[in-house]
Amino acid sequence: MKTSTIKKLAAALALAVSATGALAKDITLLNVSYDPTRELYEEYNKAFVKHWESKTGDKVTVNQSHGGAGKQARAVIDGLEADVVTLALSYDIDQLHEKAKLIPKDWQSRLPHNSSPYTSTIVFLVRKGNPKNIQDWDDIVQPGVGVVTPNPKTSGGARYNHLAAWAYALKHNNNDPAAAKAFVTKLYQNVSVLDSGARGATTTFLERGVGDVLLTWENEAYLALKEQGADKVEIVIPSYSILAEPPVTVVDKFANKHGNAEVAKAYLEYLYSPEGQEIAARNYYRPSDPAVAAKYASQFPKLELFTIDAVFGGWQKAQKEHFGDGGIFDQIYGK
Amino acid sequence: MNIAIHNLVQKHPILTSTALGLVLAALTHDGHAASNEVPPEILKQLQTLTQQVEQLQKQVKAQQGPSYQPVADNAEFEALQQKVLVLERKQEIAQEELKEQKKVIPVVVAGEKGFGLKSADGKYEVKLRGLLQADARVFQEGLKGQHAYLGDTAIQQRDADIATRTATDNFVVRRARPIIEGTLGETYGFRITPDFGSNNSTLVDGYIDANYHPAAKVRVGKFTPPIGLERLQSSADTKFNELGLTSNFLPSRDIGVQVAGDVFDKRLNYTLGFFNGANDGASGDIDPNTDKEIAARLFAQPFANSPGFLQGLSFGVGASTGDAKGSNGNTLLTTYRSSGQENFFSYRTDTSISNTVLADGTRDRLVPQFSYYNGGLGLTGEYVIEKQDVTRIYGTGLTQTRSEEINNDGWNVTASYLLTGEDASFKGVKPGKAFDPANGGWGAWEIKARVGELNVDKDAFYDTKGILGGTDSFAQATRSAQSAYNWGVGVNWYPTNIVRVSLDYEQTSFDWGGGGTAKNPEDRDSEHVLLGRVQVAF
Repeated sequence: MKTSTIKKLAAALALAVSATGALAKDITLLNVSYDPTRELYEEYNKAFVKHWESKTGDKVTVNQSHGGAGKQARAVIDGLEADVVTLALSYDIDQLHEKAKLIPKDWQSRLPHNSSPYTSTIVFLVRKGNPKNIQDWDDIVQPGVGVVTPNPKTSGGARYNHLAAWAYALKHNNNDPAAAKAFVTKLYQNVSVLDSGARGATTTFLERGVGDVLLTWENEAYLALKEQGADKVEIVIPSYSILAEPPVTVVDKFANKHGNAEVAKAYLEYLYSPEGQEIAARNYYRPSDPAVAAKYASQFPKLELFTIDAVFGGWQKAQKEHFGDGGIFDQIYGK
Repeated sequence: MNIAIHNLVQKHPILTSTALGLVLAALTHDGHAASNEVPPEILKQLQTLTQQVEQLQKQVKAQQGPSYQPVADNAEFEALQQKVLVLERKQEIAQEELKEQKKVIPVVVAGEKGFGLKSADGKYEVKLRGLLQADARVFQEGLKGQHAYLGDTAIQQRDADIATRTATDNFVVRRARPIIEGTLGETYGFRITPDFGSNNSTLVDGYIDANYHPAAKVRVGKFTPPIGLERLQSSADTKFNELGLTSNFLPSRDIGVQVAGDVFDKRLNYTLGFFNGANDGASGDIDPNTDKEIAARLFAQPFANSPGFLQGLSFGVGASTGDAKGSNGNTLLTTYRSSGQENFFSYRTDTSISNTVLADGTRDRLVPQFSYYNGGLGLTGEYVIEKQDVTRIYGTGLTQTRSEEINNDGWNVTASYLLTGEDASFKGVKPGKAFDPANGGWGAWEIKARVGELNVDKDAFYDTKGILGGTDSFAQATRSAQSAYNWGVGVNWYPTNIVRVSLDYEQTSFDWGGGGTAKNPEDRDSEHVLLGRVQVAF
């Protein structure tokens, strides 16, 4: 009797073990992101993998792809099978619907805060001692100041840089577009190199020693300061800048194809969790969760921020006027 | 800029020239490949700067003399340093962009294997190839083939003689085929080959390949069915300008589906297909016949992986079987042709169902075949056995119908030898040295010989009472020959990989019919023909 019971228990145990093994899945997700989010998602992925395994038993491997936001969006449209995209601006994600119907038109309403779990802005990174005494946008358009910014045709960050300069000029010239164009023209006259993405521009400025000021994401500037040290670079906060709202979404077509729809959704939702928000803040992204934002308030300087909608009437309009073929950037720099 | 550089060079002569020199070296190192990738405007700017610095160095040195000592001027130096750094970075970015572009930019392909476009990863490709054959046919004077008589009187014989002397010397564009082929990913491919030669406009090949595995490749569309050896050889690669007699029994193209593959380490190739069932020698486009045909072929190269005398030996057998039921409008039977492309056998036909011979039942073919290649020597051969069920309604009565199984056979062997040292193969000849007399290149020269025979069942010529050309016979001895014997010799010259010039002499003699009178049939005159060809195939 005793032997029989042990056998039954052993069989039940073996069945349970095998059933668990059979149910647990190995999942691979591809997150196609913009240039300076490498460090953020390296840390976040580890946290999510742990979270998801504890919740479901499934092992997730998250692969990352980084580059200029526009370029990354085009890669997905051309067939790079991303389960999720975490790009710099909504226009690039809109293209996934417009050009390839990979996502629904209302993708931005699927997650809180217009699907932007964190925000950022554009600041200046200068060399130690700020030898050109750069304090605000007016200083970087002076002759002899070397400015480093990426190419707005391929980089989301560069588009924020361009629009921030334009909005500053409008604000200080009675909203005169001609004055703004003249101002931004002067800015580009100081730009010698256009990298394809924000990380490339950082390399140009820090590692190749080109230029006096780097226009970059706030998170990228703080990361550079952390890595290079205060004896090499300084951050200058301009008086007025842009509210950057990098959005995220599941790429429905590919996530469904891979059978990853559920985990991809969870991956993005977890960005809004306290842990996800903490990780964003630690990587110098401004968290959307009020509690976490309050905790890290001292880390982020206060400055006047404008939104794309308020000054430019939305990304679609701004994109067409400034970065479309024959647009303002082409008129200034490319043609 | 010159003043700034002058000042700088005065103060930092060594540092300035060294910096520029290093950058220039960095930009142009690694030979042509690297320098080709540097944007020309950057390279030009840098070269100009370097020249200016070197020139100014010389001037300063001459003015200052040996006691000159540089004085620090950081602002100017840093300005120039920035220019150099910017150029360096631009070059770096340009190279990165070029590297990225190479991953996606399609590659234009142009060469002896055609012209095309393919994706950067090589998985997608469209290629334009071509085959053009310009021929000349010259028949020996007075022996221009057929002398078939329509009547028995002297006048009838004279008129018919004139009327049927159809073998004419001529030039002909035998084949004019633009070939569009490509690959669609790692698995799929296609080919579309129209032909505008010989006063035709037809689709020769139009098929889709799905190469799932070397041992399982599926082909769907119009292509050569897997039966005979010579038919399966590319029209650009057959040794003689015209196919041997045996090809009269085998379809040129058919529409269907086949699965094929190499197994046993490529020592055995198999093919199994299901087709409409094309007529002998025909290129089937429309099938009026519900019954289909199965074709299969096994071809072994048992020593393919063992270098030695037998490595180039291959042998196998092809076969087909199917039902064919013809009608008055389409008998599903065909004529047989000589090397000079003259008809020497045809079944009886009439304008009505009566007297017209129709395919009516099974058509089976069995084709043992072999090839052997060793150095410049090439040997190919095949033997064809064909069984064809036919029916003829020879009168208006219900019983005035005769059905028989007609048994035909034929064979041919072709030998070739490359005099200039190249290796012979089933897939054509590549000259070791292209034609270039100034540098000792004469192309590849090949001699060749062929012998073959074709026999139509004698029963086709007799009626059921044993009378030659009688009431219910299937063929008339006055019009058709029962046997043909062919031999030919020739030479092929390959000045380049894509051009071939051929000259063949072929003689075909006919036995048992093809001329004379109904009461006294005679052998058709022998055919002696010179066949010349200039071919471009790429």
